[in-house]
Amino acid sequence: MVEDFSFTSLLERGLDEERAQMEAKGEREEQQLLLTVKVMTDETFSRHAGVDVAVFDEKNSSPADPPTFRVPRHEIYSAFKSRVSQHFGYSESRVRLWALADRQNRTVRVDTYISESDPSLSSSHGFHADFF
Amino acid sequence: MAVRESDPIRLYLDILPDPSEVGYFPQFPETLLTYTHEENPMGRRQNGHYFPQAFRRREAIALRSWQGIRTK
Repeated sequence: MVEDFSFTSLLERGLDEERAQMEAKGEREEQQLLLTVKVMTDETFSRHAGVDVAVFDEKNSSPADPPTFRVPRHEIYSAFKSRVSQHFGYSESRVRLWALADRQNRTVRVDTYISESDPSLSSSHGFHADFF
Repeated sequence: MAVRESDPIRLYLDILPDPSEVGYFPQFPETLLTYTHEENPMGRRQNGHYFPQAFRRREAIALRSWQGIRTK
């Protein structure tokens, strides 16, 4: 009886470990396929009371946190912009996205808008290629 | 500061005004600047210069964001 229990216990433990490994592998693979994009808005900025324009650290959760989007690495910019526009309830023609940049003094500021006439944003390039 | 691939991409959502209403296409993120101005009524100093009266930290950041912006 004890041996059965021990065997079952070992089997369960083994299955749990295997499941955990599979989940970790799945997360790793997902991270390689998806990009994390955080979109700061006027609303999040108005709620933000700290330094810089927003907090981009996921460890802190507050109403001032920029909404996060998980973007397939090869999604083209226009598709992403469409999704963002829908999320915030604006027509695409009224939305313009700016990249934020780290300045030399270690502050984060709005830097350059993403020009849709830029040929590097064509569908032959993935979203990732456009930003790095 | 180098950007690591694992770092999130950080963007600012700029809501453009209706060009038919304002008659122009804004070059800068005007909502951020408008926010700054609405929160900071301009006062006049003794030397005749205008300056935001209640220049709080958040608005200061917004204004500095605006001033440092580069366009393509």
